[in-house]
Amino acid sequence: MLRDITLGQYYPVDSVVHRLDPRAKIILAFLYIIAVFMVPSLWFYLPVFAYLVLATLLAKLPPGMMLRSLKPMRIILVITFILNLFFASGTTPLIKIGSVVIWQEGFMNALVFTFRLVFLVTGSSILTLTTSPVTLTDGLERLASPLKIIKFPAHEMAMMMTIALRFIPTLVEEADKIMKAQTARGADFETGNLMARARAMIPLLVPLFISAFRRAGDLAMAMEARCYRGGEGRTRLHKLQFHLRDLLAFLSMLLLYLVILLPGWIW
Amino acid sequence: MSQAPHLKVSGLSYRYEPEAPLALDGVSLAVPRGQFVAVLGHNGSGKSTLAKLLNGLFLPSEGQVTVSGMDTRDDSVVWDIRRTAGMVFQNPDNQLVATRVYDDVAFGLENIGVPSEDMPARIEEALTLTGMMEFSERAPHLLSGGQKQRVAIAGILAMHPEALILDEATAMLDPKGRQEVLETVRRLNREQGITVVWITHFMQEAATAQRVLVMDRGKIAMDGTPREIFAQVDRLRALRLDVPPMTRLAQLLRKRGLDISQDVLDVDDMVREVKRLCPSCLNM
Amino acid sequence: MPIVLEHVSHLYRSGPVTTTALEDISLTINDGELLALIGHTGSGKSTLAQHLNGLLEPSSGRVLLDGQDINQKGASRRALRFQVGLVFQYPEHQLFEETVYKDIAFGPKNMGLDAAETDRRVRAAMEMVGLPFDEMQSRSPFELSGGQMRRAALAGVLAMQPRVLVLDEPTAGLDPSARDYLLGDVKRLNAQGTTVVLISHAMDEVARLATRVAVLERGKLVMEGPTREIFTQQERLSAMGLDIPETYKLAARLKEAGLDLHGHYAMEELADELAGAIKGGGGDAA
Repeated sequence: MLRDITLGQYYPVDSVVHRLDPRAKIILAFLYIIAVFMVPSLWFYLPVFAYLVLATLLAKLPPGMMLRSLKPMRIILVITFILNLFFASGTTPLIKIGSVVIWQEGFMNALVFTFRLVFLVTGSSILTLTTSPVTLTDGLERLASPLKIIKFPAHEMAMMMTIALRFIPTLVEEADKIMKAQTARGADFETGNLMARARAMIPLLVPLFISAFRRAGDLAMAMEARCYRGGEGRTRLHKLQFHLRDLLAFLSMLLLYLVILLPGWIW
Repeated sequence: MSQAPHLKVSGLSYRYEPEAPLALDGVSLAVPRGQFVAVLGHNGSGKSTLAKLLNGLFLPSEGQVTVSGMDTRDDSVVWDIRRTAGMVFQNPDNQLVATRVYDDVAFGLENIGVPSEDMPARIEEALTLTGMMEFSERAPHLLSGGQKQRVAIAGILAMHPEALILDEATAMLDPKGRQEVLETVRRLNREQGITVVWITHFMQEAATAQRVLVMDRGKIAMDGTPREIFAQVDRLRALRLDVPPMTRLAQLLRKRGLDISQDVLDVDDMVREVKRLCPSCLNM
Repeated sequence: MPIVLEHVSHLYRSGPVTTTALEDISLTINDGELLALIGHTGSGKSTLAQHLNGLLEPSSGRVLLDGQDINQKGASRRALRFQVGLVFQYPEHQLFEETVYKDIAFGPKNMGLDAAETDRRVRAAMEMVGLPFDEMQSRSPFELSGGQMRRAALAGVLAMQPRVLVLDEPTAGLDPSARDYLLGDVKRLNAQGTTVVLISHAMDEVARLATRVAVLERGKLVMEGPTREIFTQQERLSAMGLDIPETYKLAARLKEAGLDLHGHYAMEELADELAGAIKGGGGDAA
């Protein structure tokens, strides 16, 4: 049952956004985040919203999915809104409820900050929804490979991430088995205060750690037997290549920047 | 075809630590090209240690190991040795590194620097030879044990090895998985001529090999055909091994005064012997 | 009778898919017997085993121990469950304590037993599995050999002195001599009164030990009866992809050819019967 955990939220569908080079998508995600922070005022969130809608449609993602990515954030959104609404200072009062004043500036700020969060989260989730964890790792590795000059272990980190992704379902399954075996011996993972429950985890964590170390040792030997000797001289099955669509995606981001920033420069 | 042995071991001794007792003690062995040799032995007999010395994962404390004439102690050829003599391990999970079967089979090819364009053909050939082509998009954790081992074998096959060393590759599998893996490897031995070293403690598996080695306390105690080996029931028992059930039955019948051949490994053999000793017992 | 399964079904959902792991299983496990549970991987054997001590609850149906529903709410639930010990596959993977003693004591401690009783039980359990107390008790479980670790894990469950012991593939991964040793322990335990449920793929082991066999296929109980009765139905078992012990195969082949071995399938008895038949010159009409 626990075996079907899909890491992240990858939504496997064939769309032009899915087919974009992961390096492009990662860079675009960064640019997008910066753009969201550079929005000068409330109305300029409209083009951002339009951009997001366009991306969602092109990625063939059900709109409900985007809303669902906000679900874990709902408390933070509410708090952000309320804090800015009541505690910002301003000059023009909007509403007066007894002795509590809601300033117009406060109201605008609340909207701006809340929208900022909303767009940051939904926009970034487009990256994880359209890029499988392995492809994402690949993209990160290629982007980081120039850093090899300063001895940054880009290949090793990518290898670590891929292996971790591969083993997470396996380790989850094993944790499940160990928990059952210890429960059968009377272990109780549920009752008791925080301290008691933390202590109760020992019969689960110790075997799990030991097993993980053993796996690592076995795996290292198996990799060596398959001629693995680090990143030097390795070829890749999947070659990342930029296409026209990646260029167009960058152009669209440039357009978004222009729409957001130009009016401010002109006027 | 060269007459030189494919895998050769001379006077091999190995200690895990400088003061530790010998895990292997003066072992000498020659495996000709294309042979399917099973290695039996109780836990601690040195059979797994021998496996890891064959492809250079461990280096000899004394003696020499050569694969197609290449010495495992030679740094410049050890990677060629590992490509030539591929190894499959006991734990099906702890060999697969990628999140997709197809990508995992590519791992070895990436390591030896095969050009990207050449990879798909080799991967698909390896998956087809092991019957795993239909699972190529699957995530490894969703496969059965036998399927995982076949993917591991495919990963080795893609590198075009000349020999396969399987270190108790079926120990953690159910009977169906064991059968899948054994049949796959036997087919590869028969059809592709790949030399096979099959380490196991399952007697029935060893019974299907061309040659059986029995190890005990770091030495080779017995070396012969399956029939020669399994005939020595008491000796095997003393070496903490078992014999196939029909072989044991044959021994019990001999103890009761019947002249049953030493040569009984399975039900067919036993029925044949019954017919020989008592033609009127059976109406076949 | 210790355990009765009444129309037990177990379904589980993973996402949109509902899988039936067990379907309408009714089975009685009698006091003192050694019941073997056989079937393919995925037939539901492990799921069934986990219902016997309450690790899993049935989606419908009941599991009774001495007439009481073990899944009823109430304090006696835990006490009931402690009477059924469950040893998973590769139980050495659950060892975690600093010493063998402490690990084996984990079960009794969880049962709330005092130090004196726990000590008695740890010693008894170690003796039962053949681990010398003085030599082993203060060693780390992780420096034991594979076979010793397996025995220590088994001792951990035996120390709880369950009335019923459920073993899931107890000899998986063991070499022949370690296998023999463990099966000897199981046989002795059963002889001393512990009811044993043995899940195994190794048909020869099942034939040696079990008095009764239950066959699961795709979550359903398809066959059940004395060992002899089950293993003589070779075609039916083959159709399910299950093997039968070599001795039964031989007996079936010989019977086909006119030589009846009169239901003797244990090695020694079979040898006697067969030797007798051959020496008698045949003509032993069934």
